[in-house]
Amino acid sequence: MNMLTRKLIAKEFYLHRWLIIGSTVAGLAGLLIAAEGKVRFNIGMLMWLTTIVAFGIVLAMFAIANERKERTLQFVLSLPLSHGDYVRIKVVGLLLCFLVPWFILSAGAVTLIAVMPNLPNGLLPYAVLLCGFFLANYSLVLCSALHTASEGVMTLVIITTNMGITLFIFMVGALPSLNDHLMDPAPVWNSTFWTVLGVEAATLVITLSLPYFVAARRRDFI
Amino acid sequence: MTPTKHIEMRSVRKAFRFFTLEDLSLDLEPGQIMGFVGPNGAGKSTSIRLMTGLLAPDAGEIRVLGHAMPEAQALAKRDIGFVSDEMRLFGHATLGWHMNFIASIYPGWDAQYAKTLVKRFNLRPEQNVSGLSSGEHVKAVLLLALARRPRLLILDEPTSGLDPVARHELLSEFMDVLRDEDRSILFSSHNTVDVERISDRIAFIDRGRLIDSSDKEDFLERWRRIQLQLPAGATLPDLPHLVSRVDDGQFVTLTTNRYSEDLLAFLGHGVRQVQRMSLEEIFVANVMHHRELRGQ
Amino acid sequence: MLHRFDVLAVTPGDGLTTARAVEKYFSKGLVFDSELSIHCIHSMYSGINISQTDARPMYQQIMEQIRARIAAGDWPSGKELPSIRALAAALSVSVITIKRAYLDLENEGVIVTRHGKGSFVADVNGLAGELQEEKIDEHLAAAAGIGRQLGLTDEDLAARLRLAIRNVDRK
Repeated sequence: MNMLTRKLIAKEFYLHRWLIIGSTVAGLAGLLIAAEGKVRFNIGMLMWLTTIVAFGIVLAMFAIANERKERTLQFVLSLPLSHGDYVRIKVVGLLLCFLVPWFILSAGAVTLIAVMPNLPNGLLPYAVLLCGFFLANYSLVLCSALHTASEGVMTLVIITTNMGITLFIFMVGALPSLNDHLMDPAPVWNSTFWTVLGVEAATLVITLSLPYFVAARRRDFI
Repeated sequence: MTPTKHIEMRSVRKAFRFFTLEDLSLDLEPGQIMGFVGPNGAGKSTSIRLMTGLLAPDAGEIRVLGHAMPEAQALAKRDIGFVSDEMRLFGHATLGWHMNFIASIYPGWDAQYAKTLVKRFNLRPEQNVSGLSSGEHVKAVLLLALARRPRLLILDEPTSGLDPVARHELLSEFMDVLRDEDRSILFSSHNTVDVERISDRIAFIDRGRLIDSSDKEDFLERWRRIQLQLPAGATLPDLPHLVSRVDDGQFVTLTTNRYSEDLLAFLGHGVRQVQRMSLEEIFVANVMHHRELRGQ
Repeated sequence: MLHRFDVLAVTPGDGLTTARAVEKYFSKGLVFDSELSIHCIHSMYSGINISQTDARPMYQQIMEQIRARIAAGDWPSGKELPSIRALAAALSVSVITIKRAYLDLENEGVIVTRHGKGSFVADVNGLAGELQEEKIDEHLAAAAGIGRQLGLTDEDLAARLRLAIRNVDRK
């Protein structure tokens, strides 16, 4: 990885440092609240969930759409890189920025379930799928932001993905092969689990590689 | 195409929905400053974006520092300092952060010169970019470009929004760049006074077309306003290279873009005054003339 | 050879040599404090001023001011002129304008350009005096022209000249 790439990725972390730190702290706080018990569990998990999702949206929007609007894009493009370089560095940098809090908060949720006696370990597969969903969701928003300059389209994407979260939680959670085992003392990694995980992984691969083939090839950038 | 020119554009075409840049050919030699002048919407910014690889031409060729644009822009931009008045630095970082950022990317960064410029431009490295006024922001972006000592500087309205002192400082820095005959500058500006002072070559652009391009001194020598008083009943013969003619009774004011001693002799005793024209006057007359020729 | 912390002692009259030396080292990358060298060169040529509101073209203003310095003896015969690019930078005027001024001065025989070496004040005996005499002839021609326009007689004009001489002597 050359100096310019490293510096630009470091720049993403630097510019969004408060967002990254704040989201991590808020998400962990949510987990701590959830650890306290029944009602607090719902509140805490909602907080944890909202934090991860919102963080992803804000990060993608700020880092891409705003960069375009705030005309810092022209400054970045004046650096010795091609349009393809810009897109690739953006994908890697913003993915890494998301992965840090996401990993901490996902690990935190998994730990919480594994450690807390009042939370059955049967929740683990569902929790893993949920975390995977957040990552796939984020990469979808990121991919969209890199391909469209239209605020209208981005708004549509955000609304759709938000609806998607609700759908995921209720639909996937309602799948009998998953639902039946939620309250089990031990986690059950059945085929439904692997199928859903597979779909999430595929989404991730497609949405992260699409920019390399489409957005990076764009000849006009402004 | 010769490898020595810093900018070469050949018959470049770029079409947008409501505007088309047509048949643009431009050359910038090393050691030169070119002033790029045109009304708003003429295509200056578009041309500059084509030069810096932000846009790709529909037709024609562009070479900057010998590199084909936009294909080889990553290489070309190592040696180009591009500043546009639309460009913004990262609001949540300080000027000092930006200086370190640029210094780590470009080997040509001159830290001593950067310090000098900070003082000269009256900036503070600890200050957040979001706290800078628009004039200070422009100076900051220019500082980052100048301190790298790039071979080619491409500047889109570099002095817009600057107070006279800052403008004076900036022009002085630009001329300092030119002490090295391997470096060059292309800048677009509405400030015809500054363009007239420091440019070696001047290119006029209007409505997507290059209407004139020449050495500055050549422009200033070729254009004149001639005032004549015709004797009663006399008419003026047809004259070539007449850009405009205004009649006011016996008095005629001619504008020509091919002034010579011969022309003066030809016009004879009626000539009352021959005036040189400022670049601004030449620019306006040229644009009006070309619009007439194209039936606009 | 200039070192980083050398202080250049600048004396009037010697300015051209010092500035030229600094400029030579600067272009070779040996002078590291660009502010020092620029300041030197600027202060050497700060007496030359180009006005854009003056009716005369910029290259002519430069030529006149160089001729004046030669005529006054400030720039003696054989002295090296600043390089075109150095003067352009010092005055914030385009290189092409300085080139034109130098070219025209050479055509007038006021300076001599040696390819690859630079431009020098022409080593012509009495050049300073010649320039002064050209100047006085120009002024007298202008006065005669205005005198005709006003309808003055030869005696009127001569009387006015004598008055002007007396005023100069009084000062």
